[in-house]
Amino acid sequence: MISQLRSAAAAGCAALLLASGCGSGDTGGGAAVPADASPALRTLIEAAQKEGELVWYSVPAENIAKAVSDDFAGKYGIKVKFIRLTSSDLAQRFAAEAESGKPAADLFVGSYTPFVPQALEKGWTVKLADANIPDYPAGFPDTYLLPDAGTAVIQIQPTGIAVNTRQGGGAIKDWPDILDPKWKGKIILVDPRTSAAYTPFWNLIVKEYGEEYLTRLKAQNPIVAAGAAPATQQLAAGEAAIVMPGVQSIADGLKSKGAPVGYVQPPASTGPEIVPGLAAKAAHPNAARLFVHYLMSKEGNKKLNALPGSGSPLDPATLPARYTFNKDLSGTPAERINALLGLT
Amino acid sequence: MIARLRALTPFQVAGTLLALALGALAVYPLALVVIRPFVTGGRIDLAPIRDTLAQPDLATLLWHTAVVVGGSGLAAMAIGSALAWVNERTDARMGLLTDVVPLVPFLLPPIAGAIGWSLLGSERSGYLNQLLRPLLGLGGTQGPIDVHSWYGLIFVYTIYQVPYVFMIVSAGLRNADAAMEEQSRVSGAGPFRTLRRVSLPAVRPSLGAAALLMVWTGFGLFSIPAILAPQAGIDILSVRVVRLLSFTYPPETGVAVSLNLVVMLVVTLVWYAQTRLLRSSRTAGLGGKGARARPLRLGRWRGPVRAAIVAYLALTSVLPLGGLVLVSLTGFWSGTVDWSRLNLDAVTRTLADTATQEALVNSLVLGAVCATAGMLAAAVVSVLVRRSGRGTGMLVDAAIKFPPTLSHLVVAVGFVLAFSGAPFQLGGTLWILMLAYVSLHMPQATTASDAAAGQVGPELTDASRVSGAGQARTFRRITLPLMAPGLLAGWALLFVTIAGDISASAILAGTGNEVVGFRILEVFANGDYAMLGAISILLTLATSLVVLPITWYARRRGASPLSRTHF
Amino acid sequence: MRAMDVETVPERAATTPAVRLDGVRKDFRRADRTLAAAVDGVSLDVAPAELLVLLGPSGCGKTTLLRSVAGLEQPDEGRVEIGGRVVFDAARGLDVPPERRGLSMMFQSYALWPHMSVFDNVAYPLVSRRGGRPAKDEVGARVEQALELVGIPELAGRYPGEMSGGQQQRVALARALVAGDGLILFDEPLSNVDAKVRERLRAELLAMQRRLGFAAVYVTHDQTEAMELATRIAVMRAGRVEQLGPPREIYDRPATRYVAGFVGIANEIPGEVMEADGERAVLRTAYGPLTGLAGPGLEQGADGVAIWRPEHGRMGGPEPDGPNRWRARLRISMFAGPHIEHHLDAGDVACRLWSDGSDAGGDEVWLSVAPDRLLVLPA
Repeated sequence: MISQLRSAAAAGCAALLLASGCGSGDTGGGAAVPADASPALRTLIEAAQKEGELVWYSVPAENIAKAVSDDFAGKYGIKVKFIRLTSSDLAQRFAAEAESGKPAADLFVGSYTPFVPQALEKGWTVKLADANIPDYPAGFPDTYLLPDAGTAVIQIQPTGIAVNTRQGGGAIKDWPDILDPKWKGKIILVDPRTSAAYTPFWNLIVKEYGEEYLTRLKAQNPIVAAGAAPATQQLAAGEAAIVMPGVQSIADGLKSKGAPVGYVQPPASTGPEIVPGLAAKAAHPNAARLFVHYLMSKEGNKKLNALPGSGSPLDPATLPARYTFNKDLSGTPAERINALLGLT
Repeated sequence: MIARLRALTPFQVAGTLLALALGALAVYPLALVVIRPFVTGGRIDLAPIRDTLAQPDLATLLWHTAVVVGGSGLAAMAIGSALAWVNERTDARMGLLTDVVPLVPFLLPPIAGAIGWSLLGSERSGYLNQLLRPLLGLGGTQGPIDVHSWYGLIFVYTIYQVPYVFMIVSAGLRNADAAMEEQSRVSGAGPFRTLRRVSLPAVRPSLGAAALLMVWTGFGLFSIPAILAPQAGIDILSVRVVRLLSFTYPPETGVAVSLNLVVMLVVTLVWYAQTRLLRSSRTAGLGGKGARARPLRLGRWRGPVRAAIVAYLALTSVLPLGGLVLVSLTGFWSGTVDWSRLNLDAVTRTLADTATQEALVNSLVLGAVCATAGMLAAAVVSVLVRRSGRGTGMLVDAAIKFPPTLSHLVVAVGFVLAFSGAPFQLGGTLWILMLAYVSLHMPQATTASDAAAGQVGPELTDASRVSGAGQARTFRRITLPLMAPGLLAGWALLFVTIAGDISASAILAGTGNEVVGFRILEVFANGDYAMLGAISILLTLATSLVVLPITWYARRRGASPLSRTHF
Repeated sequence: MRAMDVETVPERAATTPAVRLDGVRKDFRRADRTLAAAVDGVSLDVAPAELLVLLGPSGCGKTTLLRSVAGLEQPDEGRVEIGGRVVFDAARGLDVPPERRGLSMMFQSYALWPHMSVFDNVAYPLVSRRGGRPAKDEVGARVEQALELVGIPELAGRYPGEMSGGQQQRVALARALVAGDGLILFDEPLSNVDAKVRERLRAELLAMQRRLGFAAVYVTHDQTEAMELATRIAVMRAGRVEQLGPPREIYDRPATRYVAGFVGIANEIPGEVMEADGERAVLRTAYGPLTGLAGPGLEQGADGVAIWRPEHGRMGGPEPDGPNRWRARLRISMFAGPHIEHHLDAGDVACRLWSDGSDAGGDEVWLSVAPDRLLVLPA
């Protein structure tokens, strides 16, 4: 009796342990190879379909990641799983897994940070150009290609200003407006110490307005928030009128629920630049290559950049007027920025 | 020499192997991460230590951390002991309410608790401030309270520390001979003098254990300071460490680990003090013979004491949960609550989300499995290895206890390096989470099981041996059942912290092994407070349904004559 | 009790000692890290059906010695045999664990398991022993027998926490008896109950031991208990056996001042040994020469001490005849029920004396002790 119970319990545990995770895209049953595919693409699709599955790590927001996963799954009949990570968690995790020799993800789609070339150098990823991706780079503008890092920018998330419309934040149009003394104590500063991804942004501000901007911002007594998400929630609640730098997808998400939140896109901007990285020891290498091909295709890239707040390299109209690439923004190190802002 | 004469019994062998395995499980993954920055080209390189000393404002960092951890620790010791004393010894106790509700704040994962409190206590739009300003007739748009402050941070820390003290001191008081207190009353001391001069000294070992856990968990808390401290300009070590590890790649592991060495040093000192304390007072005070004392009558103090308890419970458990419920029904954190627009949208979204469902099931199963495995292992280790009192016992204890003082992020990376690839191939499975959870929570587990083992008089096991039962049988039939109340209490603590774990899960959970803590992080990064609130409440409900009955049962059983031990 | 009777008196009992200790030594480490012997080379035999009492003050090593027999302590040196079987031998590295020594033990604290009913507590030794547990009915029958034997058959379903100290004591005794072992160890089992219950249990225990015929080693610090129960007493001091013998011998002819002082009340008069011929001895004291029985180890000219029991002194009346007499001042007399206790001073030596009541009259009285009631021992 007891032994029966025990084995039943063990079986139950095992079943639960096997229960698989999250964010799986639906498999559109029996998708065929498109008729207009080149022979190389045709071979890749067949190989990817044989693998049948794809796992990727995403920095783009969950709803975007889900949309492209579902679309890709439906198109090629490949099961897609993803998890959404912040850029620094992604680096930590991908590095540890690659080093252990068993990467869980076939590729990552993350911000371009020093981690990306490092991963290539350590042999954890392979260059897109060397990965036999059919038609690569498939008409992608040269400015978006990063041949040394072996990858390409497939999404741009320009940084702007999130404002509380009830507190008169609608009056703000550009970065210098924030320095108006009337906003003193009403600015939420997203802590630049939490991620290196903020460093290019502050370099842009320094480049455009000089270091003086930072000292004047410090004099505005900003409230320091731990991240863009809690900052925008505080904004919605009316703790302040401005979040700098603001993320459009988060602001729009709250706005759609009725929060008095708006988003302003100043013409001068930069932001996280999203690049794919193919895992060298991927469990599903062909599916990963096909996914990169898809993300860089007209159709896939459009899907990836469907929501406001992200710019597509294939559609310059989606970008702010004076966008500056991260690679052109260096010179002021993070420590200097923190010191100017009065953060230790 | 003679000590080694008797052939090792299978039980001893199994227990020793288990202890060694636990030690290895804690030390090995860590070594993979920690040693690297200190070794360059086969030589020991102390550059990280130098870099650590060159950290900006190192003194401020340490000072701030010490104030918050120390302040909240002392406050928790005072509040937790007082709650335990009132519940165990006075007529102000209120049955189930005072038995288990002090543990409720603990059921809310720290990240949800921190968000709950910033919803309540933010200067302008905190729900509590909006309620209090008109109530107290205060004008303006700010205050009166600000949770992003020294007192706010210490307060929230304290809430998460109190349950540990409450549980451990309760167990100690149950075990301490109430006759000593009655003697004190007869000698003319009032109830509060008796508490201070007799009851508390009698449970000194428990207080020592609680203090150790305070330090250990206090330094480890990350979500709370990450959310509440920056705005107050307070620099907390755990936040700085995570920043060093995740600001850029490659992580500054060397400096991060060196900073953690400070924590380790403090924990070592407290640990040493506690072992000394245990040794010096093992025989003093702890008795257990004789009838249970009649609860102390507080007289005119009874009403106010009860009111204070209820107020504490409301303040610490009802309020933050309320804040989360409100934000979840509003859809976002709104400065002005529009009651007509409340909706269940976020709740239905959460309930319909398959990822969250799976995460919830995984977390609860992992919580139950890991807590059970962890407590059983801890019980064996407590009884066999630690009681031996020899150098090896201390070593194993240290191996189990110290690695988790490092940032859980470091430990988690170590687990990936150690177990993800060949030969274990556990990457992306629930097994790797299980190993990490058990290992990271051994300090709590062994603290609880040590206390439980201390309550079983050695004569009870001697009697079993002489009656012809071997060690294994004695453990199963005598020691384990007698330790059960203490072990169950420890189980509950483990279950809750594991089911809501965020730190290790951030690195170890993934597509194949989603857990709630990771799901909460995903939702948090998306800025969806409504769903975060809904998930947290669901998790709290689920864990309450498991933990409250068990705790209640354990406490009733612990208090019944059936488990009274005789010395 | 049939099963017990048969099992407790093995055939070879007549020749093999129930316990044989040979040079048992156990060291412990003091707080200042030095070694001290808790048990310092003890050798003795316990005969079958004998009740040997280990008597001594706390800290004399008697409990450590008992626990060494049980296997709960590991001696550092020596040999322990139980029923002819070597269970411990330091030289050979042999140490049989307690559960395989086939003995029973009753603890000072009773050590009843609070989570088990009385029945389960008593049945535990039966179902735990190696070599197969008995059938269920047999366990039931034997537990019942044991509980009846100790007079609490109606308590089988109760839990230890629900019973009085005396009842718990009986349960512990039943548990020690139930397996019918040839050897039962008692570690101050009666020290936790009140005097009345203690006396009754003592008598019952003795009757039971005589009837069942098991050998027993019984630790106590209570000399009355030792006297009443023991076949032989081993008086222990600082880890050694100071004297081993039947109660009467221990009481009447203590070998040392320590034994005399520990067993009963001993009045002492210091002096110098004038003569000692092995039978008789004369001690020169402040009251003149005193004649008495000679203890072992007396040397002429050495310091000695005359010892007498309060019940052997005579007091009052005119100056008595005979050798051992002196004047003393009566300080106080107290009625103690069976006798009156008088406290007297003679010079600077105080003594106690019991009489049956006849008043001495006056402060200054004559005191005398018969020579065969006075014992001369080395100082």
